[in-house]
Amino acid sequence: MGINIEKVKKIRESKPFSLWDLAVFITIITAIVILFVFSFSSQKEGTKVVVYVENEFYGEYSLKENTQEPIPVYNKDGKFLLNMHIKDGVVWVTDATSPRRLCELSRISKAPQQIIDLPNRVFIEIVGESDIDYISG
Amino acid sequence: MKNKLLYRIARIGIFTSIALVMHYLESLLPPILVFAPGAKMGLANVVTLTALILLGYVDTFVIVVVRCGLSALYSSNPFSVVYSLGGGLAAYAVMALLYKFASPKISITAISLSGAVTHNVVQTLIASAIVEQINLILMIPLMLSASLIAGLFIGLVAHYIIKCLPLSLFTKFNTANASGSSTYEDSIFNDHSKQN
Repeated sequence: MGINIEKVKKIRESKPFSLWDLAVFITIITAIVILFVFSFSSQKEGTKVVVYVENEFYGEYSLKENTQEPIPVYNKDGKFLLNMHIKDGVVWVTDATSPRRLCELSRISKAPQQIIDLPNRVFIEIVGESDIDYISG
Repeated sequence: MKNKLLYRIARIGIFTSIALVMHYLESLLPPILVFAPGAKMGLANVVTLTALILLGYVDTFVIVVVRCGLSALYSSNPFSVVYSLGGGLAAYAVMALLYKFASPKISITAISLSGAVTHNVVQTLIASAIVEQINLILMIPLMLSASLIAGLFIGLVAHYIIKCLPLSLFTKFNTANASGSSTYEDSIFNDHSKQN
């Protein structure tokens, strides 16, 4: 309950950074570097684009096909959600109906990168060669 | 006693409304950190952090819960309550613990940074649970880099707010330190009640 006035006074007199902050910075930066290395090393050439809508499988498309027309994605009630484009091995999304349309920022080309439209619960993922072998075998 | 409670409720109300406005303004801005879709500046975190230090743990908890609950109202998406509340409360918990146990040693900036990191990681985990795709956690390194920038910025803003706001706004009717520094405030309080 209430505040610790002595502590607040100390903070008001202090500088925006302190020596102990280094511990926090180093921890976070190390985590970022390790996770980046891990996620880049797990990337490989993709072959297929898999789309899930509302946690259910929606469709599977070849990454090699060049779509002249965008692929429209609908939900179960037939409501239009977004248009998906595949060209030269790159996948992106336009005309999303989600409020902030953040999913239109992503461009993905390698497995297992993904585009997510959280409000519409659309999940687009590139799947690599070995994953398919694993599933079929 | 009654005045004290009213004063507290009013302060909570003011802080909550500032947080809500910040939250709303932020949703109007174009995404600044383009490389990590969904990562936000977390402007409302300025309020959480300032409140944590100037209003105390309980009041801040109320502010976070009310802010997350109300902000979900204008987003029209049922999942955004879970999303917003999960991230908000996790960040609150981490920042409160750090402030309680490590504060004069580590600065407000570092506390803000830890809060931003927690917020983004927890929201990514919640998103991955909502779409039931564990691969979404591959976005965490991007989210972490975004929160590094956002957390630093928010931390500096909060630091200077705490530095510049007049302390008397918060020491008056403070519920802690009843034995020590309360004589001055009590006298104001008593004078005030006599006049009525």
